Amino acid sequence: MAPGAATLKARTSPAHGRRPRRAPLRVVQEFSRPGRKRRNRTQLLGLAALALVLGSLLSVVAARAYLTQGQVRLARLQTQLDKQLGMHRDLELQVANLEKPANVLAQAQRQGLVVPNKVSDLPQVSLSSPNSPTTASTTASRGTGSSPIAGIQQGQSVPGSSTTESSTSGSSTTGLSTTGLSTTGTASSGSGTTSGGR
Amino acid sequence: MRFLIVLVFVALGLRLVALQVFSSHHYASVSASQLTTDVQIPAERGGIFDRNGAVLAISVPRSTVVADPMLISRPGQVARALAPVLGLPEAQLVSDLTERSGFVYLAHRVSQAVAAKVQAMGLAGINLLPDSERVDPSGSLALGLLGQVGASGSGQGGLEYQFNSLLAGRSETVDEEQSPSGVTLPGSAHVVMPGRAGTGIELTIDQPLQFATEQSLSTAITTSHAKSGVAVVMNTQTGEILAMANLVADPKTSRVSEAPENLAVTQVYEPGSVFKLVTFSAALADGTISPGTVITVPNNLSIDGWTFHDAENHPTEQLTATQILAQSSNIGTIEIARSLGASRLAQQIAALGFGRGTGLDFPAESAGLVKQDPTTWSASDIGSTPIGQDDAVTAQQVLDMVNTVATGGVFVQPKLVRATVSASGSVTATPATEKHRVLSAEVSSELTTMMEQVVQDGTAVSAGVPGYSVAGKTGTAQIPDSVHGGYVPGAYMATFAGFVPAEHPALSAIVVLDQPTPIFGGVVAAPVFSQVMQFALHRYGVPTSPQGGTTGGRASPVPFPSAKS
Repeated sequence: MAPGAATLKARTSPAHGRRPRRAPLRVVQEFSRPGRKRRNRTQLLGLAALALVLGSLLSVVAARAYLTQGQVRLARLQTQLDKQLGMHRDLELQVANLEKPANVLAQAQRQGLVVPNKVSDLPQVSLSSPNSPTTASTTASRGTGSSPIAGIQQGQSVPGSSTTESSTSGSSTTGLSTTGLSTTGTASSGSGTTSGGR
Repeated sequence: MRFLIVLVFVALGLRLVALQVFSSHHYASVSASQLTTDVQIPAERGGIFDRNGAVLAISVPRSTVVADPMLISRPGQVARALAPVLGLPEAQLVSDLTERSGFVYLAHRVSQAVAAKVQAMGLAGINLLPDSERVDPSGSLALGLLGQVGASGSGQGGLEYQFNSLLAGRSETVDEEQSPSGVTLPGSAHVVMPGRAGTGIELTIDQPLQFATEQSLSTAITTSHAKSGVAVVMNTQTGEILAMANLVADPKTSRVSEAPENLAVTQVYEPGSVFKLVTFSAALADGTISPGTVITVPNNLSIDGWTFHDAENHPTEQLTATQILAQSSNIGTIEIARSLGASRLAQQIAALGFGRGTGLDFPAESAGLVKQDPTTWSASDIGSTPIGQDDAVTAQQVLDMVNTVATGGVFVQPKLVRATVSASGSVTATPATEKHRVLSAEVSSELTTMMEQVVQDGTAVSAGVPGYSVAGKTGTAQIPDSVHGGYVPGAYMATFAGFVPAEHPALSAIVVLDQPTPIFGGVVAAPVFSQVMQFALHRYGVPTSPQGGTTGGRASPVPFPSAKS
C-alpha cells in the first residue's frame, strides 16, 4: 500500500466513524488517440509522395529542357563543323589549283622565267682519276672533269648541277591551259647567254 | 443520373484502352509518318591523289536549295529575295515556287557562302540539303584516266567508276521529326544507319610528268595533224604507271583536248613493226637466231598469194638479225618467223601478255584481238602476224612487252593505284604487282642491244636522250578499213616504245599517234618519247649512261619546263 493512503485512513477514523470506501487513487496513463495519430502520418506521407511526384516531374522537365538545349548546341556545333570542313575543303582546292603544273608554269613565265632550250648532264667522273672523266659530255657543257664534281661517284647523277643554255631564238610549245589544250607561245629571252638557271 | 455518369466514364475508359493499348502501334506509326522524315546524308567521296599526294579529284561540300511550295504563301516575295542570292531569274523562281508540289529543286550545289545567306533569310518552306561537288583542280589533266562523276554522285567512267564502291563510301540515314513548316525539331534526329566516308586512292601517276607528257603529246598531235595520241610512262621494276596521256584532236578545229576515255587500254590497233619484238624474242630464246646471224633478205616475199615487201624497195641483201630489227625489215622478220613456226609464235604472243587483260582491270579495257590458236591461222598469217598485222593490241600491252625486255625478261604487271587513303588519313599500300619470268636474262640482254641499234642508227634516231642509252622499237602500221575491208589508204598508226637507260632500265614508255603526217613512228612518235624521257630522267635523278650513252649525242629534243620537286 502507498504511504499516503495509510495516513488518510488514520486521520478520518476518530471523527466520523466508517465512511464508504473510495477506490484507491492511482497514477493514470497519458491520454492517447491512436486514430488521429495515424491520420496525421498518412497526411505527411501523402504530402511527401506528392512532393516527390511533382519534384520528379519537374526534374524530368528540367532534364528534358537541358537535353534539348544540349542537342541544340550540338546541332549548332555540327553546323559550325560542317562549315569549317567546307572551308577546309575550299582551301585545299585553292592549294591544289595553285600547285597544278599549268599554273606553276604560267606563273613562272609571268615572272620572266624561260624554258631552257637544252639541258645537259655533266659526265660521270671516276673516283680513281678525277681529272680524266670516264665519259664525254653529251653536249658542250662547261666544267667537264672539273673539281666541283670530283667527289661524285660513278653512276650517280648530278642533280641540280647540269648546265643550262638558254635559247637564242624564240621557241613555241603547245601548252595545256586550264580549260583544255591550247597552243601558246612561250617567249624565250633571246639573250644569247650560255648560262642560267632552270 | 449517377448511373449515366458512370456509364459515360466507363465508355471513355474503354475507348482510352482501345486507343492506348490495342491501336497504339497503328496511331504511333501514322503519327511518325506525318512527323518524321528519312534524310540521306551523302558520304564524302574519297579523293584521288597523285603519287606525291597532289589532288587530282576532290569532293567539296555544297548545298542544294529546295522548296515546299505548299508552305509558301507569297511566292513572289520569296522569289524576289532569293533571286540575287542564287543568281537565278526571278521569273524562274516564281514559276518553281508556284508549282503544285510539295518539293521542288531551286538550285543545285550552291557554295557554302550562298547556303549561309539562304539560311540566314529564314524563309519558311525553303530548305537546304547537304550535297557535294566533284572538282578536278588540275582541270582536264588525265581526264580519260580519272573518269567523271555523274549528277547522282557515282563514277561514270575511268577510275571513278572502277573504284566507285571504295570512293563513294556509304550515306548516313537519319530519321528527323519536322514541324509542319519543315523545320527539324531539336533533338528529334536519330541515326538509322551510320554513314561511312569514302576512301581515297593514291595513284602511281606523277602529276608533273603527266602534265609534261600531255604537253609533248599535244604538240606532236598538233604539228603532225594526228587524230589522237597516247603516251604512257612506266617504272620498269615496279610496273607503276607514272603518266598515262590520252588526247584527241577536234576534227573541225584541230583543237587538242583530253580524250574522254583511256585509249591506252581501251583502243586496239594493229601495232605494226613494234610487234616484231615478239618474233625476235622467240627466235633468240629458241636459238634460231643470234644478233649476228646473217639472213638473206629479198625485196619481197609471196605467201599464199599475198606479197609482202619492205617499206622501201631494195635488192636482195644479206642482213644480220640486228640490222633486220634496226631497219625494221618486214621480209627479214618473216623469214625468221617462218623458221620458228606458227605455234611457237602464237605461244610467244600469249607469253608476252597479248590477248588478255593487262591486270589493271580498267573499265572497258580491251584484251585485244589476237589469233591465239595457231590451228586457225591462214597460210598467210605467218607473213602478217610476225610484222604486227592482223592482230589488234592496246598500247599498254605493247608497253608491257617492251618493259619485259627492260626488266631482263620479267613480265611486270602494270599498276595504277599505289595506296588507299582512309577518311582519317591513314595510307594503306596496295599489294605489290605480280611478276613472272618470260624471257631469259640472256635473251633480254641480246634484244636490248639490238633495240639500242634501232635508236643508234636505225629507224628511231630521234628517240635519243642526251646522256643516256635508249633502246626501243618503232612501228608504223596501216589502219584496217572496217567498212570496205583491207586498209584505209594513207592512214597509219605511228608507234615508238622503248626504255632508258638501256644498261639499267629505269623507265619504259610508249607513244602512239593516230594518223599523223609524216606517218612514221620513228619520225613523229620517237621525238615525243625523247622529250618525255628527258623530263622524267632529270626529274627522278636517273644516272646518266656510261660514255654519255650510245645514242644521246644525236638527239636534240625540245625541252620541257623544269618541274623538279
